[in-house]
Amino acid sequence: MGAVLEMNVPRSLVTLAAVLALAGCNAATMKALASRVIGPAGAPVVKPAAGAPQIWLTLFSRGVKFPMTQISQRDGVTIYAAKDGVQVFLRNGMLIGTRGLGRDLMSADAPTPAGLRAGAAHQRSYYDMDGTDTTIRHVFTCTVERDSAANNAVAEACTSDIGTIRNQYWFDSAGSVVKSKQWVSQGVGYAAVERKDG
Amino acid sequence: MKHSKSLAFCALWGAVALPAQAEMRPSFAFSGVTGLIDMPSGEAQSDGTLSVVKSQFGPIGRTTLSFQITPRLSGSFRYTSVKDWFDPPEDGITTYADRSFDLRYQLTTEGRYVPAITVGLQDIIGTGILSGEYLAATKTFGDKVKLTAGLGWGRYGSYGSIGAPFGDRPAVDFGKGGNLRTGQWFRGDVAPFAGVEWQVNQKWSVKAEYSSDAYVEEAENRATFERNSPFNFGVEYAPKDNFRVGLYSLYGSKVGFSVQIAVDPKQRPRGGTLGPGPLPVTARAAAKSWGPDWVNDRGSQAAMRDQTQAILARDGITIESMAINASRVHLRIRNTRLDNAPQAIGRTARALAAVMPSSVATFEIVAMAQGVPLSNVVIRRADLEALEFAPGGDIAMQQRAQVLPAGFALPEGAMRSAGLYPRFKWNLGPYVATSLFDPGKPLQANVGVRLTARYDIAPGWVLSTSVAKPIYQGIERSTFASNSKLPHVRSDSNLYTLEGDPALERLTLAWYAKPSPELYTRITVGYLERMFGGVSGEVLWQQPDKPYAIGAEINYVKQRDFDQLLGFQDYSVVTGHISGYYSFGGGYHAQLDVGRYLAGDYGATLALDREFANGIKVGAFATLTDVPFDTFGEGSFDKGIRISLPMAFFTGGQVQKTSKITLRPLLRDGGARLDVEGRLYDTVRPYQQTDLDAAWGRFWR
Repeated sequence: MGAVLEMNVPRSLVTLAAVLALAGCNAATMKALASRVIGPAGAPVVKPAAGAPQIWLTLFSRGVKFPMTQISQRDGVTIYAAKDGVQVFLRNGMLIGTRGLGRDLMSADAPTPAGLRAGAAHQRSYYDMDGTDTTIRHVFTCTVERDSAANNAVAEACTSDIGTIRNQYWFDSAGSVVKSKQWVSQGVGYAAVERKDG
Repeated sequence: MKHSKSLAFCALWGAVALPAQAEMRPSFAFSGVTGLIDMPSGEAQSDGTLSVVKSQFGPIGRTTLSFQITPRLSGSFRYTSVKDWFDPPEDGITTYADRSFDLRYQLTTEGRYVPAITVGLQDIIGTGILSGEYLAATKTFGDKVKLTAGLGWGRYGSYGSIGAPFGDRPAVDFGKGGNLRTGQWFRGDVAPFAGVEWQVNQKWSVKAEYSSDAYVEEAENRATFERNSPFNFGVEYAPKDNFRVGLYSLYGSKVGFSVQIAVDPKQRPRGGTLGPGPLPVTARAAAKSWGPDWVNDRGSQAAMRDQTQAILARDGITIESMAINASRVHLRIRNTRLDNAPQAIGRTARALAAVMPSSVATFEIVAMAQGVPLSNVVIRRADLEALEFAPGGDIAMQQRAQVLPAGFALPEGAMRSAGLYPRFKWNLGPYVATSLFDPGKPLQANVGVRLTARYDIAPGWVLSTSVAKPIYQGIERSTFASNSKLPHVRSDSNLYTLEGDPALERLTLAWYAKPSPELYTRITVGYLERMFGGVSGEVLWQQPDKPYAIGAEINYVKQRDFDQLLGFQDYSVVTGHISGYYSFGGGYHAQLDVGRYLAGDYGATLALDREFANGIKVGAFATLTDVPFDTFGEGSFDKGIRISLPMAFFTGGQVQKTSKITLRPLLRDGGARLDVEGRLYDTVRPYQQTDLDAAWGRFWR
């Protein structure tokens, strides 16, 4: 017959509660739980300058659209941050990174706007982070289609071992990206980026 | 923007998948292993998956914890209960309870023509009542239908046998349990089983099977239920990838249900880590100007330290000291919130880039724990600037960062942060203490409040305590008092739980030091754990760039009174171990402890763990000592499973809390180790090369 095993599992029960709350997908419960265990941590690090350029970011899988403000520009990359500290990295309008969206795009090599408009087939890599804090490289082979209806629109169709994606870009007369719909990662899906000032 | 985060909670669950081929996830059988209803299948879970399955039909209940140890190998630990087993009751008990352990190995993964084939060994070291072996093959047809067929021996060969190809099955002689019964494997009658699973849509599936388990003992010999038919049917509903419930008709007579929860360490429940992005790397040209003579100006340097601290405070990073010269800064930090070490280093490096004068080209970041430096991560500012946006920049950064030993002494000119010592922290919270596997009442729990407090007197000197007060006492006096022939070093655990009200679980003074850059020491005195008090000394040798470490520990302890106040009992012992730690790479770790245990027995413990950089760990351990199996008692020797689940994995938040669970089928007195807080290896490891490399993906997070 058995002897007695004892173990103190205070935190494991909390974890279990977290699991169950997640399984129930109750945002209110989850948020309360998260704020209780995390505390009021994680204030955004950078305050943008007054009058800094802004964009709209739309996340289709979550049905949300929110403004983001430029907080940094270095080496041709502009970083925009939302109020809660979520960031996106854009190099000439090409999305090359996200921070705080869940399965983040940690880095990417993307084509240039000029390359896209020239319509050249190319390869590109997305590095996203899996649940074990390891970045995973996904290599996509892409072709470019010009939109016959709109002279200033281009679609980039890419295939990899994890599936097929389709990015879309709209350019202004100077050849800059004004609007785009770009793949972020499995887990986040597509993000639309629009200039807010127009 | 406020609402976007809460919406994300739900959205992240149904991770956005690319429109690749549709997938049928492998589900679980009643026995808790991957399978159909009561029969196993040839599939395996995704590598690293940890699952808990609770199932019940008629008198038979099973709770099974499984782990996919490698992509092909999995292990399961099961608690089974059968009601109405003892008639008349034995010691007032009618329910039979048993623990069992399985191993499964997938011989082939599914291909275009080849099915997934798994060989399974069920109940290999328990009493053998559940023992059975099987070969199961599963093939998917299209994206909606899976067929499984198999051959079973033992339990799985007990109905509809087609012969005994490998001779008779020897009788079970399990003695005290705990031994492998290899002589039985694949012997005796063999019988076929089969089943089908149909995925109706994304959430619903239907299963049907033909079972080759006759339930000889449960149905025929003890009549706990009627087995009228070999056919089982069921419906399963999976609202999430990792949660599934099922309702079944079993053996023509019973209704059953199962609840299946699976955690895949590679899939964070919330998609990833949440929380704000980092401070961007500041261009050197835009770096702060500190005047021409800052190198000799302590005031400017103190301002640099304070400005860096102001940035780092938002991530819960505390600066202990800073030493600056014209070309290099040496910063000692304590990371109190981020669950990932490279992320703490990455954020610290970016804070330095924002504050340091442009001539400071090298950042030395030394993480501290218990007042002791763990390693010196050297980052070149130029690399930081060059790789922030580089594709695959984390790997490039990892290759260029150096991990060096860190000495205890501060470099010349170091400025300590003011007001760090002494420091007092306390926490009051609820706790639940459970008692598992008692024959009469397999699951009991106490609920109460626990006060923990910690007073850091000076670097390395820590006074800490933990006091628990039960409010609800669900754990009762066990009707099975310890009959151990050894000193009762653990088997009176029940008495400690009953009488500790309130219990002084711990009251210790610890001194941590680092006599050389690769040598760590700890001395702890006081009430070390709930059952023992005394003095504990430890030394650990760890080179930061090596995948191994060696440690030694010696303790003189006396057994505490059951009430866990200040008194002691008569029993005292000198116990200690030499320990070797080794990382095989890929997250597989081993630990070997050789020495003397609490009951005065000599022997060794081997522990093997699979660890993920996100902090999830699953491992198993076994201890063999000079105590004969007969003297040890039921179970023959000490063994168990240990699991660590970090809170941050589930919440996505910035939190270092981790639940640690050790599960033993039996807790007895042989091979028992002292449970002292703050052992060195776990303290030191996160900032050594092996662990930093594994977690480095978050450097740029």
